[in-house]
Amino acid sequence: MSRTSGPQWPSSQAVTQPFWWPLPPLPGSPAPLEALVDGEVVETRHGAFHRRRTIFALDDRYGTRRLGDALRLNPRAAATLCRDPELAELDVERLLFLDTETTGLAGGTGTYAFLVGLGYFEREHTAGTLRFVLEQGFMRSYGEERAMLSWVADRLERFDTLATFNGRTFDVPLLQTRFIMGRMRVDVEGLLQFDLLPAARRLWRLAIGSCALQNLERHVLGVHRHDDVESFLIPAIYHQYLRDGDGRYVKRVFDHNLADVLAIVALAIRACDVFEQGSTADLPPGPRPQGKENGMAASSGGSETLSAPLSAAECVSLGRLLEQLGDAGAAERLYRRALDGAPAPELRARATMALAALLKRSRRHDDAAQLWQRLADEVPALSVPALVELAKYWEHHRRDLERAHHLTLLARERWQVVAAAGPSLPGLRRWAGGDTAPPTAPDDFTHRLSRLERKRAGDAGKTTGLAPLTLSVSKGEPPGPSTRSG
Amino acid sequence: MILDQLVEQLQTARDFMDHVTAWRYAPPRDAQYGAWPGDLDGRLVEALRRRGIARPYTHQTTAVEAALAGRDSVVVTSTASGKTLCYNLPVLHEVLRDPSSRALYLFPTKALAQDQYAELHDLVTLLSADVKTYTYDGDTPASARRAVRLAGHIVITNPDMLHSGILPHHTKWQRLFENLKYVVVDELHQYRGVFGSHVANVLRRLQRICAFYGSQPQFICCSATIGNPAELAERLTGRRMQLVDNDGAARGARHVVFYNPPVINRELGLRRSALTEAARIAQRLLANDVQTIVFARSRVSTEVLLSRIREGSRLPPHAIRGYRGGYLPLQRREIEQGLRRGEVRGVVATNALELGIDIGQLEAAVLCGYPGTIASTWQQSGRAGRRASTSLSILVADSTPLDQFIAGHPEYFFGHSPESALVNPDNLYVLMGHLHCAAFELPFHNGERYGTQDPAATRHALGLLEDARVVLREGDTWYWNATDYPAERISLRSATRENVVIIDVTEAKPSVLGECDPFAAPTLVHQDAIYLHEGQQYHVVELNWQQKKAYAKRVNVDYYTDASLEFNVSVLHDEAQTADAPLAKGWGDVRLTYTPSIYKKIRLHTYENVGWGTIDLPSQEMQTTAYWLTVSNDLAQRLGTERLQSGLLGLTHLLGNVAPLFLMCDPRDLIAVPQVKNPLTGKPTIFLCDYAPGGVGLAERLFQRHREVLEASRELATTCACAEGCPSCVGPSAETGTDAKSGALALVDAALGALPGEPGAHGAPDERRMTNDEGVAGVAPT
Repeated sequence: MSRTSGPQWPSSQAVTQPFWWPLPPLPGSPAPLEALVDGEVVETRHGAFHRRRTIFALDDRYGTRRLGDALRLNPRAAATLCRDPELAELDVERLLFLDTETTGLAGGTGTYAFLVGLGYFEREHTAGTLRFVLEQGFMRSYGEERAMLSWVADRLERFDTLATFNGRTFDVPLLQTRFIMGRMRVDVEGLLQFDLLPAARRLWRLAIGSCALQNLERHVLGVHRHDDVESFLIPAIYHQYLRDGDGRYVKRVFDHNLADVLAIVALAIRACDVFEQGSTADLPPGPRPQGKENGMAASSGGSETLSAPLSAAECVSLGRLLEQLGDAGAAERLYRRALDGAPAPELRARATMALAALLKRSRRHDDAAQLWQRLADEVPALSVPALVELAKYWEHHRRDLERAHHLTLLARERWQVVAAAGPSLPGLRRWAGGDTAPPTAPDDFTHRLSRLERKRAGDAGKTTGLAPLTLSVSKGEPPGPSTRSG
Repeated sequence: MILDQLVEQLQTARDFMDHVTAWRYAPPRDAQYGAWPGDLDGRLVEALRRRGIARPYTHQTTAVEAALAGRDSVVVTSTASGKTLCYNLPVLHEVLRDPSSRALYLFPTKALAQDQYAELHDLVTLLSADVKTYTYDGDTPASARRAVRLAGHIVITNPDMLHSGILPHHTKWQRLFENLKYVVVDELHQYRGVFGSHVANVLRRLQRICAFYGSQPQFICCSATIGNPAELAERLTGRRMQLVDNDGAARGARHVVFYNPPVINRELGLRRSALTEAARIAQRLLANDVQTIVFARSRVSTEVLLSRIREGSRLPPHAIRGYRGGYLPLQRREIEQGLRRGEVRGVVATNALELGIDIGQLEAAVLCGYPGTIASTWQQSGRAGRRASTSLSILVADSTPLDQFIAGHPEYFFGHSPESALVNPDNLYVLMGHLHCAAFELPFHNGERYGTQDPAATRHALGLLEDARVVLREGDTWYWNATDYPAERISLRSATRENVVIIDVTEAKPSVLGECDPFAAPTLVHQDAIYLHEGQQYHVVELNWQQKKAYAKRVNVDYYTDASLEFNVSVLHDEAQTADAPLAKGWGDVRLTYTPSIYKKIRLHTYENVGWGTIDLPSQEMQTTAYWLTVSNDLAQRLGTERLQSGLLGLTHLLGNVAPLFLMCDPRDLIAVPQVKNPLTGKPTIFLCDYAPGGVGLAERLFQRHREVLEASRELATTCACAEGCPSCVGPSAETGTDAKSGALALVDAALGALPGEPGAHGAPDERRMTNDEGVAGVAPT
């Protein structure tokens, strides 16, 4: 369609929607990045970029974690926590800690990683002492991307595993995209991944809820960042930097990224620590078995890192993980350990249900019944699933229809209280770690009740003396789940 | 009774034949076969033999030869002529030759993609070769996506998914883009108007990305019959196309009948309602066990027809179904299946069922009202048409000018090739949106061109993106420099964005009844509207415009509602304007404001007006293009105020109904607005506005075909039997005034008298002229 008078361009407002985000002003006056962030301009054959190197000693800490302890990361722990058997070959010498800062969160080819933080252990050339090196590459313009990426590619060659936080779904695919866009044949997605986000979810979601890095730092690592830049502002910071060249905000992004990489190191240490404590029987916290000894771990003699004992929530979480992996013995031990610590009611309900389910699966029905009964007696508000289980137990294993009926009525009564409190009542959605789905509506009870009533009527029709007979089915002395009517 | 007997019966029935204005017959035609190209992989030939296909039709031979020779092509053949083989064979041939090769198939909808997947899968199974075929759309589970990206030889998707899910993530599709050999665009004719303009831009982006990966895929397009398939394919893909239209498929005998309902009041020009007549004819067909499809022009008439036909039929309700946009997908699938199995004997549909969707071939089609274009008339008629037996299609004209023109001038219909499909990939609203996406996908380099031959134009457009702070220029490169994901903000079809959901609140537990696009909502589900769904009436108790929700309750009343919009136009910029003539023409950018005004309650069966109400919804605004006619002061004075005003209304009515004839557009795509005194020029003006943001090129096309439009308008008005105007020409005289007809004719005569050139020339829209796909044209009436 050839327009007669040439294109009439509408105003830019009409066809685009400006959506840049003005940043709140900072104190002081604008200064170039190079003046604020020490570092060097690295020349590569693809051009130059800015890089900062920060050196840490092994005894330096992030929160309560000593960085050097990462040298003894337990490969089996990593493999289990990430559910990736290949990580069992983890070699800390070839482990690269990685975190990127990007121009957007949506992903896609228009999102750039403008700052890449890489951390690794290295032996110093002269004195030969081990240390932790944290390098941060930064592109001062889009034109510097290739140079920075070529440095990343160069570093990647020395390592075979990446430790990240959510790297599997975010940082690593993003870097892969950047390499492809830069026509560089680098297979970053082919490296092994020790991603701490799924590991952290398995270990700590139960205890702390949100597994955002900041929340984990606060509750698991005991770190409170001061004056940290808000993550969501980071893309806008870079866009603005490219327009005005003011390095003040970017300086804060460097510090933010540095802290993120250190947090990944510390989380890896703590995650493996929890795993080791949990899986090494009931040893009280104390001298732990040595991790993998390798050439680099020589100077770890002075380690006196606080190895905080496991919390009840950590015990339950780890127990669940080990149970999924088929280690029922370890799981049982962990659930019991959680219950020993007299946990809060919700956690207690969860640990009880998980343990009882485990016992039920190994046909230790009476032991399980005892647990349910105790929960029903002592934590009535969270006992509906336990009562349902008890009703099943009495109906199917003990053939006491009377009692099963009574328990079901009780469950319904308590359910109605819970349901009236609304779905916001804590613990309503996720009752139990076990296999008991929460009853969704009183209909479920109606169904069970009518069946029990039918059965009872049938029994009554046949003979009246059947009830004691059924009791004799159970072998030996019935442990008689205490029906303490206190 | 078989259809042939029924046809004979109809031909001798006086009460029917008296109102038939045309009866054309096309004898059955034998299949015409070619041979498989010698270099086609022998395994394919063998697999087809086992499927019972020994020889290709002529068009299949040509298409496969063209593809193997490396030419881009567009295949245009009749329904069910085996056109999918025209692309499946070259693609499979290539994958067998080189297993690293990849192909991308585009279908306008997910449902069509699923149909195609099933068919392709059958062929691949017969081939017992390792050719991996996947559909990739919103329904593809996340866990399967990686396999599709890496291993899929043939990926079947839709333009929307390509636009927002694939292109912005092209690095994940590296394997595909590096080895992309074919892009198949089926149902090409659906990519017209705004949607087509968007798709053209998506294909520009696709090719830009292929160039980045060093591939240059070949295009194979397939289209139903339209006037300009090659031109459309070239505009959509930016490539030269070979046209393949030597249709070799067999077809049974067919009858095409035009039926004009009898006049019941000559003075007022009133005819018996087309709905009544179409329902009667459909009942007669169904009573004789002829599987029938009835096409209605609007959703409302679909529902009205459905209940009329059901009422008078002995068949149970589930054997006669409705089918239109707004039914939920599951319900649609069920109806399609019922049709294929023959359990559903009759279906009343809108053009939602026009093409592509596989419902098998029916025996008879009844078109209630002219569908608006020659092309869609053939497409709808084509729903009836079997290989080996007779089919029948009957067009029942209604009283609108366009219908009366067609019914009165069947030679116009049978003598013309179908209309052209218009797209405007350079619509600036569309183009700029996609330029955002393109900049996101790959940085722009100086000298690069996007949708233009002129690098300076692209530079200018990128400058606008710089001003908007979404790209940043560093030296010779423009980088995306914003946080967002632009594809997310652009919907390829306005209809899918923020549809109004219709919720049934009859029972205590609300349920979703259907949905409705935001443009139709103000007239269809405004408060107190009677909304019809599968023959059931619903009273809309509330339309929440902010939340895009309409709440409706089941009712049983004896009327339906018909709402209208009020339009206003102001010119923003004129592209062209002829010098002062009695009726000067112009076209350019306008602002169109539309306000829902009132609705009428119309009694079922009698169609009398039994009440009205107002609609309280905000005005909407749209920037678009328009074609306009300005009356000179001279002419205005000559006519006098009253005659001028009536004439203006009359001509507006005429033009609004005749103009769609010249454009491949639904009459509702064009809005005709008269102004007694244009605020800018002070002169009486008639606007014909393109009813889509930015316009799709209707205005310019009208500007070019000014003379033909006016001539057809004159023809319609002079041959209409009414005295002072009727709904079939310039509108009922009660509304437009007694001078409407003479006034409109005076305006047209003055305009045509002053025009140079040879009158009566109807140019064929496409130079590669062809016969319509059903081959009926030029056959003498029996």
